[in-house]
Amino acid sequence: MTDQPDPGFEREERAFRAALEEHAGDIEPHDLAAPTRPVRRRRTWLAAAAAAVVVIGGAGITTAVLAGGGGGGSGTAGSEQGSSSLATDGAGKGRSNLRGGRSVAAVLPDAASGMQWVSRYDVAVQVPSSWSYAQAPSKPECVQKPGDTWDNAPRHPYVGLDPSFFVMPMIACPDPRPDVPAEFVNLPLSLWQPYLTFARTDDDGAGGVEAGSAGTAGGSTGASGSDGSSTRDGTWSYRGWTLTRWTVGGVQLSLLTRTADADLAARIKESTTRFEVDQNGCPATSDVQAAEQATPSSAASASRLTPSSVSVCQYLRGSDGAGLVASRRLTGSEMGGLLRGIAAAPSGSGPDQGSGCPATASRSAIELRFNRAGGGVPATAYVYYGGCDDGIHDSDSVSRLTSADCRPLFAGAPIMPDVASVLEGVCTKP
Amino acid sequence: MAEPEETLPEDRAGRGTDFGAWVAARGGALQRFAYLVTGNADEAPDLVQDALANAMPRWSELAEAGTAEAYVRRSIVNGSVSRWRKDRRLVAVEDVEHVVRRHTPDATERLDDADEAWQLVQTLPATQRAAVVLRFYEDLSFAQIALVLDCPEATARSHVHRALARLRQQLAQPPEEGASHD
Repeated sequence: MTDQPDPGFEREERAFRAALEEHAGDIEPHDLAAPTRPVRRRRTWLAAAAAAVVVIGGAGITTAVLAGGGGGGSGTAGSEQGSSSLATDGAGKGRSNLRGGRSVAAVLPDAASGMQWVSRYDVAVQVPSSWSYAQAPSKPECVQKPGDTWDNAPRHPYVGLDPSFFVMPMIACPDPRPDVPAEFVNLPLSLWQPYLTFARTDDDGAGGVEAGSAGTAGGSTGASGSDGSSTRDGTWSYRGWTLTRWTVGGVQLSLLTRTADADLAARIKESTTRFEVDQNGCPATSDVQAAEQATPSSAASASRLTPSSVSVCQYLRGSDGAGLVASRRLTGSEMGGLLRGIAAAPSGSGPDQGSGCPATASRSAIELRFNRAGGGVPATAYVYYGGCDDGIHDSDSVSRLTSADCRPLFAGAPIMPDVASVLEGVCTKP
Repeated sequence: MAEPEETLPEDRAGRGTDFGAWVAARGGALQRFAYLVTGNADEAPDLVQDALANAMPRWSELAEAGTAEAYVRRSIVNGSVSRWRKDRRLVAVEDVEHVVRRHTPDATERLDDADEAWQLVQTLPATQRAAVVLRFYEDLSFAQIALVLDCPEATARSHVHRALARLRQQLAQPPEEGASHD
C-alpha cells in the first residue's frame, strides 16, 4: 500500500485491521470449480431462505386481530401476455379478458372522479388523486440516528415507491415496541400516514420477496414472520388506524387508512385490477426485463417519431412474470425535451462504467413506448444504464445516454435510478 | 478515476494464468473478501461463483491486461450492492439473536475497538464497506481501490475517511444505558 495512513486515525485504522483480520476467519471457503460457461445461475438460495427469514421487528408479535382473508389468489403474475400487439392511448380502453378465472384488463379504464390509478407488476389500484409517491420510512430503531429517518417520513398520504432501488443499511433492529402490533408501523403514532404499498409474494428469485416500504410502515410484507402471521392477508386495527392486506395474483397490497375512512379503504380495495397495459401505457411484462440485453422489434427510429405521448416503463430485470415496477407518461414539454435529447444524442453506446464494463448490470431497464395519436402499436426503444452497451436502443440504432435524453426519464416519481455511478451527472443531477 | 496503469499486485493479476488455476489459487481469498463485504458467509461463495462466471468468457482479455482480480472483485462488490438493496431488511432467522444481541449490548460491557469497528463495518453501505475492506484488509492503495470500485480515487478516499471518522465518533461515545425507541 503506497498511501500514508490517514493522519490522526491510527487507532481507528488499527481497529479496522484487527476486526477484519479476525472476522475473515469466520468463513470456511468452499472449493470452487472454475465455471465452464457464462450462465447466470438461478439463485435458489433466496427461495430457500424465504422460509427462514424474518423481517426484524415483525417476529413474535401476535396481538393483531385477524379479521378475514383478502383477495386471495396464489397464482404467479401473468407472464404470458404479449405486449407488442397492445394498443394504447385509448384504444381498447376497458377491455378485459379472463385468465385463471380472474378478470384482467387489457387496458385500464379511466379512474373514478377524484381518484388516480397506481400500478406495479400487473396490479393497479385507484387511490385518491391527492396521494403522491414517497419512500416509506424505515424502522426508526434500525438506524443509528432515529431522527434522520423520522425527518424523512412522509407527512402526507402516499404510495410507497418500489423499495428495490433504495440504498439502506441492512443492520440489526431490536424488538419493536411491545404495545404496537407487528403488522403496523413502528413509527411514533403522530407520524402515521395513510399509505398503499405493493410487494411481490411469489419468490422467484428475481422480483422475489420484498420487505420494502410495507415492511416498515405496514408490517413485513412478503416475508414470513416466525409465526407466519406477518404476511397473512387480513385486516388489523390499532388506535384509530386500520391496516388491510390483500393479495392479487402474486402481488400483496397493504393499505393503511384511518378507521373512520372505512368507505375509502373499501373503495380502494374494490378497485384492484390486474392489467395487461397500465394507466401510463406500460405493459406488465416486456422483453427489456430479461437479464440479457434485448433489441426492440419496432422498426421506427425513435428520433424520427412524432408521438402523442411517451410511456416510460421501468422493469426489474431478470423477473419472471410481470416485471413492471414503475411507469410515467410524458406529454407536452417533458416529451418534447426527451425527443429533442434523443435526436441530438451521438450515435453509439455509452457511457459505460469505466474501463471494462461491470459484470453486474443495473437491476432495472426502461422501455420507451412512443404512442401514436390514432392508437395502434406504439414504437418502442429500450434504455439500458449502469452496465455495458448503455444507451437508447432502437431496432436499428443505439444513441448515447446524455443529460438531455436521460434526465427526463428519471425526472419524476415513481421512476427511480438504481445505479448511481453511471447515472450521476448524466441521468440525474450530480 | 484511477489511472489506467494502476493494477493490483502481480500475483493477483492473472497474467499468463490458466483460468482454472487462477480460481484454485484465488478462490479462498475471494470468498473471504466477499464475506467481509457482505457479512454473509452463505452468500459469499455464490457471489464469487457469479463473478467468476462473468469473468470466464473474457478471461483471456482480463488475464492479458492483468485486471482479472480487479474485475472479479468489482463483480463481487456490484453483486453485494444489488443484494444489499434487495435484502436490506431481511435477516436470516439464525442470525436474529446474534444481531439483536449485538445492538443491545449490556450497559456494563465496553466493547473493545475491534468489536466496535466490526459493528460499524456491518452498518456501512455496501460500496463504502467494500472500500474499507479493500483498504484495511487487502491493503490496497486508494488508486487500486478506485480501480476495483470503478470510482474516482477521491471517492475511494472519501469512503474510507468517512468510515474512520464514524468509528472515531463511536469510540469516543460512552457506553449507552440500553436501547430506547421513543
